[in-house]
Amino acid sequence: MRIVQSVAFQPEPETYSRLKSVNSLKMKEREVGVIKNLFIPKLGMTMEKGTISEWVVKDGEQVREEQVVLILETEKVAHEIVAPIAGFLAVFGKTGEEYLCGIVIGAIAETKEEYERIKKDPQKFVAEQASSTAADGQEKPSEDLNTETEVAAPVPRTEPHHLEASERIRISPVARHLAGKHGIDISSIKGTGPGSRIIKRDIETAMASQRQEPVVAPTAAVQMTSAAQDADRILLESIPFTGMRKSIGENLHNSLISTARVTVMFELNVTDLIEFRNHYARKADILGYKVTYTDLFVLMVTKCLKAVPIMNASLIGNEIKIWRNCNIGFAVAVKKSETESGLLVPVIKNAEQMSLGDIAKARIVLMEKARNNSLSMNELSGGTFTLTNTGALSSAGWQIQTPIINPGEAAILGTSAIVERPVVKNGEIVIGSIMPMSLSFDHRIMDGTPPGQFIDKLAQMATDPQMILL
Amino acid sequence: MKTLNYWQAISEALAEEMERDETVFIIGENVQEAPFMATRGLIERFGPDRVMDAPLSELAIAGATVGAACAGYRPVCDLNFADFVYCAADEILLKAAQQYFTQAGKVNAPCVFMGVAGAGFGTGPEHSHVPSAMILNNPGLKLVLPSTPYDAKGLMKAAIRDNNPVCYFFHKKLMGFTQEIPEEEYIIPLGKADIKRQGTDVTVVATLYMVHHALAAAEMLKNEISVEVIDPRSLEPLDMDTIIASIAKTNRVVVVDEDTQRCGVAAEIGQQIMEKCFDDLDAPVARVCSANMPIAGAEMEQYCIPQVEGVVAAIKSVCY
Amino acid sequence: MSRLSKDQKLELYRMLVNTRKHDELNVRMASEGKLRTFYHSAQGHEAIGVGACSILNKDDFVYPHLRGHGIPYMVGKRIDPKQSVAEHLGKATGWGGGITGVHIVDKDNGVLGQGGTIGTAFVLSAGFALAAKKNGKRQVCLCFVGDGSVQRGQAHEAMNLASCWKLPVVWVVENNLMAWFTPCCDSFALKDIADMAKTYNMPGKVVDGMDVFAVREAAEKAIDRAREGQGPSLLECKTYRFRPHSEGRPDVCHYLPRPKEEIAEWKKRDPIELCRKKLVDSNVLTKKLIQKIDEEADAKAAETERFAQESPYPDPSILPSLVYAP
Repeated sequence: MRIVQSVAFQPEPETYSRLKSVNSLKMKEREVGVIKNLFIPKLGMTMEKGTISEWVVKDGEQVREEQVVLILETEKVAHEIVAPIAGFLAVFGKTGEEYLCGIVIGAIAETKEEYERIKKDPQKFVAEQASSTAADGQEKPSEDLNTETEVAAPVPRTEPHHLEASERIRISPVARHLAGKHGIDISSIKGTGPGSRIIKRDIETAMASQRQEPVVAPTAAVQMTSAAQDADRILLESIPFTGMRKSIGENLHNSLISTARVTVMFELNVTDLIEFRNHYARKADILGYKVTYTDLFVLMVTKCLKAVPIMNASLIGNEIKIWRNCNIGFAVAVKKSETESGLLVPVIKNAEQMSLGDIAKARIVLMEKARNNSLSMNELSGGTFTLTNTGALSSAGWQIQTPIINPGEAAILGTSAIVERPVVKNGEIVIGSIMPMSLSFDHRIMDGTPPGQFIDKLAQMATDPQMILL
Repeated sequence: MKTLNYWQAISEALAEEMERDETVFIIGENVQEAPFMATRGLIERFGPDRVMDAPLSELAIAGATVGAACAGYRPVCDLNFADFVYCAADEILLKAAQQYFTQAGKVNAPCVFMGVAGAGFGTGPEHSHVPSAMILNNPGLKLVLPSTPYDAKGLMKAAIRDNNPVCYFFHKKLMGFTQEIPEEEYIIPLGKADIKRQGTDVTVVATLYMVHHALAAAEMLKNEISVEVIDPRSLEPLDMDTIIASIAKTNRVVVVDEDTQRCGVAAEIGQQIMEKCFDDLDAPVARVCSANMPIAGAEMEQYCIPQVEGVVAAIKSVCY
Repeated sequence: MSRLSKDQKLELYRMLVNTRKHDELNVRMASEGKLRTFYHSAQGHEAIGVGACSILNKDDFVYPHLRGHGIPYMVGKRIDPKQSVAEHLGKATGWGGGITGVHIVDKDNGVLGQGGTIGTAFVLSAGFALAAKKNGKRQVCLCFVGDGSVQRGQAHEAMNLASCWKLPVVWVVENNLMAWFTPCCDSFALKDIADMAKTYNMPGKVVDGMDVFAVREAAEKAIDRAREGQGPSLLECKTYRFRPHSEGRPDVCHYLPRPKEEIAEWKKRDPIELCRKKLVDSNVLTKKLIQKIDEEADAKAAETERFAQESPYPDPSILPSLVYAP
């Protein structure tokens, strides 16, 4: 049916479920085609019922499309209800009676035959309407509608925006968060919490079952009893694999087995970058902060990501989501207690909107918090790309690495300590400062072209830092 | 190290601060004899000018505390029972709390309102409260709730040195609780939670005597559930960061509080959890508080205030 | 009065006129809707605050009564009252930084703050006096309250405590015969509030609150006593408010208008006119001098108004920083 105040049929933006129901309702009307029922529309947020003030057209009379057929009265105002199609009007609702929203109060049949069929057994017609709407599982009559009316024919129709509780997926916040992060389809999971609520454990189980067979099948050696193993090994210390250590371990392991990681290694001549960085570092007193290589790399990587957006993406479910903003995580080693140490990856959010100074200041705040163990969840999540610097790990020169992609991201860049190497410059061998780099990317998300472009862009800036300003 | 009980720790903190700062003095009802022990022994050391027995006039005592604080002293007002905040509400909840704000930051009232709080001895509806929510509802006041002798001493020293009015409620049931206390001076800053027990499955937030209920529950459940017990130690300032970090790990939380449930501390902490780390929750926030009724006395008391069994049940209810 | 020098007498008169002019300014601005809060006029009460405060030292404590929102006491203590008006316009230059629009503070001059609920004055002033007694600087606290305040429990708790501990505090009750709309005759079981002092074993005295010299003399005696460590006193200054309880309110006794004849009768003893008459009669004041003092006070009030109007509002972002002291 169509009504004058069509606004009532606009789905309320916040109610996605209602949107879905309304769409399905329209579909059905098209299918039925020759008969359109008339029901009490919900003409506003607070409207619950309406009174038939007057049937302008009498039962059985022919109507034109858009012709006013009845006047409906609500607490506030009278509404004219028009015929959605041309045809014959079948009246079910009585003048002066009040009906709940959704109640079928009449129908318009395109042909006289259809009209006769409806009128012969109005109850059956209305029941058909109800059962056909209930059949799709979206709209079922709820018990309390129509209980106060005594009209014979009209039967209840649900308000389209009420989904049954059983159809809503009950899921705990952390489970929803985790599922989103790892691209788990929650509609396929059976919850084990109260009322079949999906809880964290269910998502973890689903993640485990999604994994392929173990990369390395357990060998006989691994299956040896611990007693046999311990025979030749003298225990120095037993460190609990719990807390931070455990969560880091599990996260990284999950990433390894759920991504198609490829690591590309390359070297960049950063001789000029050193001077570029030192220029700012010398101004630490004036600036109030010290610019580090990390800051420069956050800036450069952000520019690379803007140039190669597919590197700034996540694979979630069946979609590769490319992110508009660049949230760059950087790995910080922390010592939580005497026995517990680990890695935190605080995230510099919206780096693409930041200057070098902004990045440095944000990085300093995050590092301080990392050391104090006061980073919030928000500061540790939402990353789109990660940097890891192993420069300080080994004085002998830790050069090549295969960084593991931070879960939920598409790539990670590992930087290493700068080493002096002979390089050819203008046909001569000179000493150059070389930084070995390792870029891991998820081959599921992309092939080799984007990482190549990324490296070229990075090399452009790292070898000729003036380019950073562009 | 030396072993002190709960009230001795408080008394030692008071003595040290009175020794250190001559603007610190104690005012209250029977503070010389000290029915609740915490000020016992101070009269011999500091005399009646600094350990002042006042008339049974809570309004006058609290008002004089605020006045003297505004005029340059750091009085410690001993209300005896924390419940007596009600008697001196005008002076504590309006005057002390709002002095700094009302006087545009030009005058502040550094003072401590101490009182023995909580149930456990069947003392009935007017002598058994931990009136936390009422204090928290009046911004300008700080609220300290020590659960151990070590905390009691370090927090009292911080409370006295704070430039604001601090309510310091200590618990009747903890009086005999002993602990090793360092010989050297230490201060526990307000707003720093203490993880009283490490765990991985569920976070229990509790203060004052409820910390001990939480620890007892954790011990009872240790073979099935790993319980982390967090004692915020002060509810204003409140260390939400420690609570949030714990929930990030456990995804489940029970808040235990001895004040009345309705509009109470647990409701506030629960709401803050939902605002700040909703995405870390795997179960609804559970709370164990005093029932929404006056606290009955004698035998009936146990049916009004949180018991260890209730804490155990709440932990189990979120660990499905 | 006779002990006062000519300059002292003239100063008191000047203070009274200044107080009145500033009160009138607040009343006018209240009616113009410029005040951002309520205002309780001090007209009729001026002699009490001015007379008693005029003998205080700079570091003595004053707890002002709500009438005039501090003006009579500040003027009496030789503090520029312009910040009172600024406060009532909610300006940052006000005594309370424009934060509350009502409460006043001047720490350097011993005004540590004034509360909102009446009765509190009694106990907080006992606290100021307790500090004064402890610090040995021979400070005293002069605390002004209305007759309504005496009806609260704090009054009795404070009088008892201060008398027990011989605290250097003088309570000056400005008894204008009316607490809000309820007359004293219906709300006090005794005729003179000063008689309560006997209960707490301290001096109590009824004073003519319209006579600035009488107030000053009585206050001086009580303050000296307090300064010498002999404890608190209670002065009951009988007075009358010429205007309604607060501006814009009906002027009623219970629910009926206050009798015009009663107001007219009391206005015959207007504290400013009374003082002027005494000084004219004793040849301290001349017509010319009266005019000059009026003009100076008018100019001062005009300057106050300008100052208040032109001052900025406080920055609301400071509010959270005022909840806790650092």
